[in-house]
Amino acid sequence: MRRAAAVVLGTVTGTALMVGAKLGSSGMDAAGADDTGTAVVVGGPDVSTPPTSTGKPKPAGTPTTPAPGGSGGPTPTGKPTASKPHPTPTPTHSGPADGTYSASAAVRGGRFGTLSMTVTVSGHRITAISASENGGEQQCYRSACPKLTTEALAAQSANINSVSGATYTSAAYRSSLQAILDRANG
Amino acid sequence: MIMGTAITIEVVDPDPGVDARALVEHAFAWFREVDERFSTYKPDSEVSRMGRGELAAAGTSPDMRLVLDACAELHTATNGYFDVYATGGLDPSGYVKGWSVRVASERMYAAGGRNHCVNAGGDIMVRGHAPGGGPWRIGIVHPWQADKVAWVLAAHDLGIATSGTYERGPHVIDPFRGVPAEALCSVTVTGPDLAVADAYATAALAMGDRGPAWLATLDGYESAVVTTDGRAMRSAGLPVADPDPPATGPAPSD
Repeated sequence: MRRAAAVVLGTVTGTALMVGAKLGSSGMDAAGADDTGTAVVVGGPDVSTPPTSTGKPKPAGTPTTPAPGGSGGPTPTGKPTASKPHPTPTPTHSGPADGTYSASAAVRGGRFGTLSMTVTVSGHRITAISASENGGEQQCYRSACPKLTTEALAAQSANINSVSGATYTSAAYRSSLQAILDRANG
Repeated sequence: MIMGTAITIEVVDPDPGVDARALVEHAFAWFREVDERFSTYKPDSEVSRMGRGELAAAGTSPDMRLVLDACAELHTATNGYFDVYATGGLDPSGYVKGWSVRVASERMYAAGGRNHCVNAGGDIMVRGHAPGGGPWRIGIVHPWQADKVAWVLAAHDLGIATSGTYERGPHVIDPFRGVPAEALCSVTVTGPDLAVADAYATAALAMGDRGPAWLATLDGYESAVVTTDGRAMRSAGLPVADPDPPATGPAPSD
């Protein structure tokens, strides 16, 4: 589980942190449930109604209380169809509104389960990100489940028509097995 | 020698009235065309001019757009490890070689050469049967014993691509670390689309020690890996054959 989360978070930092998509499970289905299981969209909360008071900013929707350690299923916040997100224009604070945001996405069409992420925002800053993975017909994701089998490295002479190998330079070609085959074929 | 490497084409039992030599000549003309367009070693090639920003997207050839679109999809499919900009400039060679062999194979098949083997620097497309009527038998080179093979594959219709560090040294760059990937010595990927197999092999090599686990998740593409420390691994569905089957004379032709 830990390992799976690390892989996906690595992907997030490796590509881009896309901000703006709504973090409801319904929204994630469209944005994140692709075949490769690499698209993870992390978004801020809905700010369609910018807070007008200078007091404690109130997040749109109704954020749940902070989830304990990322366990449990997705926790959609707010109403999925309430409004579309837009950049925060308000000068009263910068950064996303406080709350806990969750999303989930099927990994490789569900074959490797569902990945859930929970992001906790406190003081307009992300204070915690946790990810967990569960379900699916196979309880694994890029770890041990599908695997190449290890075997002894053979070094054999063989009766073959052609050879697949790393790209050879012209010099390497002259002494390659493929060159020998080509000569044999005339 | 075209595209910096040796290309071998073998045609067996062409359709009646089809001139096998003409098929082969057409294929070589295609490879020269690809080389003119996509060679990163030729300063005037389309890919070199694009890399220098001298060519707007609107002015590119249909083949270039097709290749770059496919490369963009593969960039996503490989979690960013297949990266045509990994070396700094634009270099889609990891796709182009396999793609050009696949296209050559498709054209030969359509023109009546239904049984053939096209090999461009180790990227192979086989169709139909080998001389004698059996499957094509393809050896995967042993990384440290150039005259030996580590596996033998037998197939009638298959793309086979190998990417490795043992001929040119560690030249595949891990795009996230910016340094050559060295954990894997040889990666072979087989499947229906040789261009995709070629890109997958390049990506797995760039992934290093995480490559084998990633290869195991691919649908429709089998793989064989030799690590730099000498371990061999392969997927269960790889069409491995007996290295030296007992000689039985020519197989019955179909």
